[in-house]
Amino acid sequence: MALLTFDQLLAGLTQDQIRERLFGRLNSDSFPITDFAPGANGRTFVEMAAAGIADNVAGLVPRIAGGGFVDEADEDWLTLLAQQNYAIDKIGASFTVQTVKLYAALGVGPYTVAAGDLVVQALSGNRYILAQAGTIPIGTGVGPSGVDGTDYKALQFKAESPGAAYADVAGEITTLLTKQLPGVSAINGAPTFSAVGHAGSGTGTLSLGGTPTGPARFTLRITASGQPDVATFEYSQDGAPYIPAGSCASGGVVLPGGTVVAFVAGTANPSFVYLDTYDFSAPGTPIALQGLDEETKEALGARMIARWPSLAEVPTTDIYEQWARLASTQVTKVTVNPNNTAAHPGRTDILIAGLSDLTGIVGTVQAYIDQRAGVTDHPFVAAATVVDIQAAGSVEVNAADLTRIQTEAQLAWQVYVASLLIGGTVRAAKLIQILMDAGAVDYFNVFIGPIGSAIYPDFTVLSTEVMQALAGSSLATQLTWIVL
Amino acid sequence: MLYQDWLPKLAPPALQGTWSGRLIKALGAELDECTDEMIQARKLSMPGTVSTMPAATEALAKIGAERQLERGPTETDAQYGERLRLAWDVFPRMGSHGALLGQLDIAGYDRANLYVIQRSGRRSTRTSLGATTITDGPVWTWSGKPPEAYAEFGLLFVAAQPSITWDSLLGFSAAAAKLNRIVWRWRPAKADFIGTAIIASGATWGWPTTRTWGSFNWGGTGSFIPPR
Repeated sequence: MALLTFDQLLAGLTQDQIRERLFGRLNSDSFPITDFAPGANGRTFVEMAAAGIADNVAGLVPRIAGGGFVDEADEDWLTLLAQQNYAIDKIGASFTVQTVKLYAALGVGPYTVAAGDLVVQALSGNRYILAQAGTIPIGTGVGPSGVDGTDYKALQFKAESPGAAYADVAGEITTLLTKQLPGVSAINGAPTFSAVGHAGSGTGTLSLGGTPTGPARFTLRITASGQPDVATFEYSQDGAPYIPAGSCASGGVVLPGGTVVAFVAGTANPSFVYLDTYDFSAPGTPIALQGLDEETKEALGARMIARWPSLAEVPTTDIYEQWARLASTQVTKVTVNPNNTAAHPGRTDILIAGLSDLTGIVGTVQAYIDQRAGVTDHPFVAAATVVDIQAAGSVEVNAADLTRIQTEAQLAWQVYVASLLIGGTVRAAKLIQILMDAGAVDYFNVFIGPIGSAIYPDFTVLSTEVMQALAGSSLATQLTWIVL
Repeated sequence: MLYQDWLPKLAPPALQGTWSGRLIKALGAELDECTDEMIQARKLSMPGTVSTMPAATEALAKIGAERQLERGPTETDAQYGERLRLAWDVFPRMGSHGALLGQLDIAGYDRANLYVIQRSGRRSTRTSLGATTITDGPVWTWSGKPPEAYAEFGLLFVAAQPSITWDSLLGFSAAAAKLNRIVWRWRPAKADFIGTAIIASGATWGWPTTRTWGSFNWGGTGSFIPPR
């Protein structure tokens, strides 16, 4: 028996090669193989045998060979390999859940609705189906800017199909497809604040109020343990250095921009614990749960490979990365770095990011990791700050292709930006490639950058930031389209 | 029993003649060959068995990439295959002095002159037999951080290492970049890797650990390789 090379085992033998081998065996056994008449029994037998072996036996060799490797196994076999050899399941596609405000015209209503009663549609064409029951109050004329339960009712709608494409941002769901409720309107308006992410052991909570004058992201850090009005804190706005802010007032502290944060006692004393942090942003997002596409072969393979370092008995970078991903499927990007200072010796900073702002699940991830980290370890979870990226420049297209190119380019652009790592670099050259691949004729002065500064050929965010394609806008409006 | 022995016996009398019998025997031999190839295919991802096959080099490289264990410059297929097979025993020790030193040794760094030194003064080195020797000594101030920031460490080479270089303009040499990559990978997540000190010659304060301020004449030469 011949021992095959790596490439031969992965390629397998063709019917022709098997036939040649059969003829070789017959020849060495003095079987005449050079003067077959048409339809001769020997020739026909060899052809039949070669075909049968190629289809049913030899064809298995490359599949068996590849099936042992993460990057060679076919998709179904890889799923099995992940389950059986690595004890991980492939992540299936999941549904986006949006919070939509339903409000009635002045004097109209109230209406009681049940799950499945209503369907709303976004500007993108994505549709969402009512997922919970509720009552839309009688119209006060104030609408979605009023008070939940009085002027409108915020209810959750589930995407009609699973997948990451259901990512319509605030203000983009405005069409109520079902018409049985006359006078009722819908909008996925952003809540004033996001959920509060908490990292640490304190049981105290924050109550947010006020009317922020603009978008902001705050991180509050406890600087002295205690109950409300005794503990002290400092805050960081949009990643800037921390500023001392005095006591954790139960009556509320006004932060820059008008946000009022009140500190609420928890079940344990002290409620607020030294170095605990609280994150939130204003405004929040109407996306209660971001849907995901089915895990790709490459992503599953990466998780399988990451299982090896997770055998370590002390938390290494790989282990923290894996724990963060296991804590929530929303986590798709992680960085782990030591942050060893006198203020927090031995601390490990774990930064998470996903397809949307993960501020709201920081507490979930922190709790998951805290249950596993060792004594004297100090893992600290935070969400990467999301930076909106926009484009500028001009694109020449044929008139017949305009809409198709805009749609294809927008989708590819979103996928590209979403694939960038925390602290990554976005490149205008990639956008140009996307535009030309979609069918553009030419381009002029195409640049990218953060909102209002699309002036860079390449733009790198801070190591604490992650990028997303500018929400609520598209390449169709960001670029100048010259129709030929 | 091989197919080439079994099939001729199983065949009906009409296929047991001189020529037809040879056809059946050839078919059996081909099935034996295919069976053997399937066994080879199955062994391809088994590091301990593939290391003796012609497919060893490529297969071990693939298994090594999956298990994230780089091949050492002098490792044979058999040695590398065995190390990959024993990955189950290596990874649990990840983060320890011994595991870190072991990976650097396998990668071809100067084991005999290499120490891992913590801020606390604990240092370790690896013997030629693969054992890890740990000694406690005076504190090492790797950075300007105060003593509370205990979780830092560095590497110390006590002999010149021409291949390990760093320059503010040219960056890291390949050996220096690989060294840093291994250290970041195999350290505990909380351990702050400060860099690698290389004492090429002469007297340097702090090494040997008995050499204290004022006890020698200056004149040591060496370099410092940043952690990244």
